[in-house]
Amino acid sequence: MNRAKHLNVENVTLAYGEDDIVHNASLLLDKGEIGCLLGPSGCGKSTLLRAIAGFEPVKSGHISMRGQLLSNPQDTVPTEQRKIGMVFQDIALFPHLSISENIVFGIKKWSKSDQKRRVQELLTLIGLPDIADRYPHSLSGGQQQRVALARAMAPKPDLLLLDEPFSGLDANLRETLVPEIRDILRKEQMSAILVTHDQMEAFAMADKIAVMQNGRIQQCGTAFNIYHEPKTRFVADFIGLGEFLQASIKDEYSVDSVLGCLVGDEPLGYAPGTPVELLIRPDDIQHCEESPLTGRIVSKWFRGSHYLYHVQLDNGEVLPCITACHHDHDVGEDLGISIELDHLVVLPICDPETGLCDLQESEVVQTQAIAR
Amino acid sequence: MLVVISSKSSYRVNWLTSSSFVIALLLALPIFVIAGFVFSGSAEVFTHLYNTVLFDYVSNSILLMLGVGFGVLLLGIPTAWLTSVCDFPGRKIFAWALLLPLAVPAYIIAYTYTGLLDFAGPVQTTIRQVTGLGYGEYWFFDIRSLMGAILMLALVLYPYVYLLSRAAFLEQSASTLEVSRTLGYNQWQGLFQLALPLARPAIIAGLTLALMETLADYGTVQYFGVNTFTTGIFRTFYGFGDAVAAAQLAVCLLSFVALLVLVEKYSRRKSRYHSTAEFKAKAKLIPLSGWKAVVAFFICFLPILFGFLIPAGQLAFWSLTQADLSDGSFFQLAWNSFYLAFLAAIIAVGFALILAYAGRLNPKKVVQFSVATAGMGYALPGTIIAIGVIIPFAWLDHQLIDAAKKWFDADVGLVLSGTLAALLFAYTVRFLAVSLGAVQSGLGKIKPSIDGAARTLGCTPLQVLKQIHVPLMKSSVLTALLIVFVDVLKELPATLILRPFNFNTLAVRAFELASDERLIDAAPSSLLIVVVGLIPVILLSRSIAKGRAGS
Repeated sequence: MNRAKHLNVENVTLAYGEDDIVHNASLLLDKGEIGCLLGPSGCGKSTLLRAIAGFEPVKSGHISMRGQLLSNPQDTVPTEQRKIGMVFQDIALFPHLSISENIVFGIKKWSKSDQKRRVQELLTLIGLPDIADRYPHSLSGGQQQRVALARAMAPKPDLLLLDEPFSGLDANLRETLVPEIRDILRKEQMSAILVTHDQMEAFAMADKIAVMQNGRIQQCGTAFNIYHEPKTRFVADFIGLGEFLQASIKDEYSVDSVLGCLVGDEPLGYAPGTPVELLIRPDDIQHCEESPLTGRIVSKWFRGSHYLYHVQLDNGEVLPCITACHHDHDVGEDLGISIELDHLVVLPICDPETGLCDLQESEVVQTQAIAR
Repeated sequence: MLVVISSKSSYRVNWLTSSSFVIALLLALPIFVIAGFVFSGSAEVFTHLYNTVLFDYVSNSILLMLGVGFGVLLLGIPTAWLTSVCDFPGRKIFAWALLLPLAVPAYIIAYTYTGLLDFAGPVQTTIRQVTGLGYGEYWFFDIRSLMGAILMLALVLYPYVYLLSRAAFLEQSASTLEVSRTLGYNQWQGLFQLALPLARPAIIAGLTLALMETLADYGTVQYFGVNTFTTGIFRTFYGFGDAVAAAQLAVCLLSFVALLVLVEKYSRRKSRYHSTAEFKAKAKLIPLSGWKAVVAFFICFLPILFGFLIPAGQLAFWSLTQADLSDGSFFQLAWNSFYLAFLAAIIAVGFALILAYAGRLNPKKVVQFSVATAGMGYALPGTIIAIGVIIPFAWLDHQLIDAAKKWFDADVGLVLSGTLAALLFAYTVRFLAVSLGAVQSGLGKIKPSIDGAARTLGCTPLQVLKQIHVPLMKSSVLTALLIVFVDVLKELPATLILRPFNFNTLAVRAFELASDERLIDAAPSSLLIVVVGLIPVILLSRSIAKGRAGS
């Protein structure tokens, strides 16, 4: 285990009373890295974050930072001794203190001149240099969130936790604030973990994303990774748009489907003949007037820079397709499509009713081993 | 309830949990004692009561409740509707002034009107002078009757209905009423078809609060000679010296109260569904002019005139012109009342803080139960609490006296029941819920993430308390102290029963003087109670004005 990582969350299980909320979660973060816990509400991501902050005890496993143990089932280092900063969903500025007093709150032990310098430095960093003497209620939501960030960063914590910090803000503000905050974190070389249910936020902020569902980390990787190589049906579904196509394994690199034989660039790791589902992203399907393959348009969605069509093939399966804006077709028309797949994502078949897969995870691993 | 102690902070939580549980048990003592008499004591006493006075008590109490209930609805709902939905001259002033009668205890308004309306009072004297008629030759309303008691209680209790139904009317989105307009209802039909049904839970909640106060009232009905449960309990306890029979009567009264509490809880449970939307279209006020404005003006003005201006004016007149303050006892009384109320406020708010923090830090079933139990006292009439306190305290005192004689050969006297301890305990039982409400609402405004923010910035739990909670909680704690202070100052029945020998307060002395037909001498004490009672009413109306401005 002793990988010299900045933050090390290992096999952590968290529980409220008898109910386990998070199961065996493991997470590694390098110094200066921004990680993200991404998942639908109720998946346990905030609970895991609160455990890292020291608000929740761990039931099993351990959390350590810079080689120092923070939490294990026997011992929980109190939050205030962890050198961890946190930005809250509801911002939580102290209403009775001015902005500069809010920021100074965590660095009261510093000398007065250092405090003053740090406050000015941070206010400049967040782009609000003139608000030191104002009170939280006089600021807008976006300004309050930036002050909350400055307050959390003031003591130069080893790790910054952001608990859905943008969810209370409106969409426009979010779009400008997210990259702004990422730049601030980068400039300060802050290690941080963001919790969110919004994949665009996650993609925009994080170096590393852990997708969570039902208290388990489903997959951990870069944004590119989890979008293009989802390891589970849930991740494939939750991240990005896409449809699943019935297919069966032909050989090590190819599958048979209604779109014909498709060949990928990597070994698929299933025994030939195994029925699987093939993930089709909208950008895998291109519009092509001359293509012999056509589908009937069943829905059409104008998305500004492009159209998103759903086309139905002869056998009834539906594929997504993105076209440039000038390809304006109506629902019911036939659309010529071509397949631009060089990387195949195949997943074991899941029963849509129960969500259970024919192939259990262990079996997949076994077949992968055999295939190699 | 086994909790593994793993760190300092959870140790503190456990300390809070257990002390909140102890407080709850302690404060529930009077109820346990009273309820215990359902099963103990002799059926004989109860049969006797049943054969003699019980019917009288029950029928009078029910008639009183019916009358007051009708009265508070009649006064409370139209005023609430007019001040929240219509626009007419004086609306803004009426909006807060309609709360003023809340500052006048019922027993004070009762003897003030008696002084005005009885045979020797200025009204009847004027009638005789004008008409030349003599005693018995004309009919005049007898204020000292059931009807009089109903009038007096309705005049000071309607603000409960006014306050809650007004809040409900204001909360109703304008779009609700506008929808009804688009469906072909006019404004007045909208009132009956939509606004009133929507406000019903709030109206019922206000009504039950007013009825609880009616059941708890002792001063008014005693002064008017109407036999109800509270006067019956007093008479049985003092007249016959029969604690058991008094407690059994208290059980009957308790069942009435329990019924009201259930109705109130039920109506509140339903009312929660009505206030979900965050942003509401602000209703446009309906402008009234001409005779409609005049009618609206008088509908709102008359309750204030009769409920506050006339009685307060009369008290002020008596105090300033005719009252006899020469014996100097007035200042002694004021001092007694003030330090007693202050002590009770400190104790009640202290307990409330412990309970509120236990509930916040450790929201377990035990704590929730403790908080609910400790808050029950507010529904209990002062007479019941007094009986429930004096019985166990007297028993304990006798044990103490015996023990002290036996072991130390000393006479300790009545340590508990003969001192202020019993009184302070009863006040805490009765008024803890009030302070708890104020403290909890203050604490509710400090979001848990604020604690979290302070902790991540390096504060220990104790520092969080000192640097965040104390400054933020200051005003709600002060409000809690003030409300308990004023409530204790006005309290009459429990004080009458539990006060130490020869110890008088403003309320007790005013009531005694009035009972001795020395109405004018009772005026200064009463006036002081009313004036101090105005402070929380002003606070309340200020918060109403603020809520309105912020919306």
